[in-house]
Amino acid sequence: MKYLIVSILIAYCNFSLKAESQNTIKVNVKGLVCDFCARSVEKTFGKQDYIEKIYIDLENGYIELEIKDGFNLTNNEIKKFVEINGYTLDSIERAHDK
Amino acid sequence: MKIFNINFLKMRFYFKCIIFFIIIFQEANARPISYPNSWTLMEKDNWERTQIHIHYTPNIKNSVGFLGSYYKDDKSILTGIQWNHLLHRNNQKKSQSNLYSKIHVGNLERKSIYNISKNNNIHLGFELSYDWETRKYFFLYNPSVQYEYGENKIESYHKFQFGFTPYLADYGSLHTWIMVQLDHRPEDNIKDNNIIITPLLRFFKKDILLEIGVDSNKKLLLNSILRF
Repeated sequence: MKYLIVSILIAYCNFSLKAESQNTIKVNVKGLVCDFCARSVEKTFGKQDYIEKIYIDLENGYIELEIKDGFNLTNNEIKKFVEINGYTLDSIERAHDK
Repeated sequence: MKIFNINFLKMRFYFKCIIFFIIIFQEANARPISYPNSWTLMEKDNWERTQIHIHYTPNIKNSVGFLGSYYKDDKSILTGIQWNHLLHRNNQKKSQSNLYSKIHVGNLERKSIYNISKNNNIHLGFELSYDWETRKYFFLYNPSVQYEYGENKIESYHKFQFGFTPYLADYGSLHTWIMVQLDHRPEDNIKDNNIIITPLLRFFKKDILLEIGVDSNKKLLLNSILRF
């Protein structure tokens, strides 16, 4: 029984870490200084079905995207979304890159 | 509205100045007006006019919309279309700036004294707007030339804005800016209108922006922007 509980806990932790690592993307963006202008990023990404959550950090100039399970967002797609809103893509960090 | 007679050479001089500023500032930076497939309602109310500009942004380079102005001095009314175009942009890690042009074509309806008759003239306007912004500081320079075809009259002015924020607000919070606006209208016959200084406060939260101030002639300034 003890082994079963420990196994379930380990499996749960692995699943959580895997889910986070696969679904969170940090997009470093140049020009992201104004809240009023950055609304565009939220609106554009927010329209996509596969986006679970968006977090924008003006101070450090990045957008954090949480992607729904089973979906993927390529670097080219991210670059396109950033550029159609008038910003410049600096870099993309995926959790599994760390 | 004050419109002044000037000769053709002077008009050419203004256009040369505008070309000069385009060349200079194209080496600088820019930012988009609004986001793709959105509408923007801009309201402006100051000592000179009450103005509404509603425009549609199909992409980050362009927006087109209706322009309506009521000039308080002579009660003339301008109705027309305006095209805003982003000329140049440069994004940096800690700053953003833009240069865009605004061109309008419209009809200016002037009423004679005692409203006996009306006079309709074609009205043309060309503006440049350059701004530079960080999380803490803001600067804007906006030269403008306006031409009234029927009267063969031209006017020009320059607007400067400097601002800073007393605190750094997070995304989605209320942002507050303390600003000073300087309007330079060298051709205005009224001396008090040659240079107008307006301390103002700018607030914005989400898709709403509000500016409120009192100018050096003790007249109220109230601007607002709504995006949807």
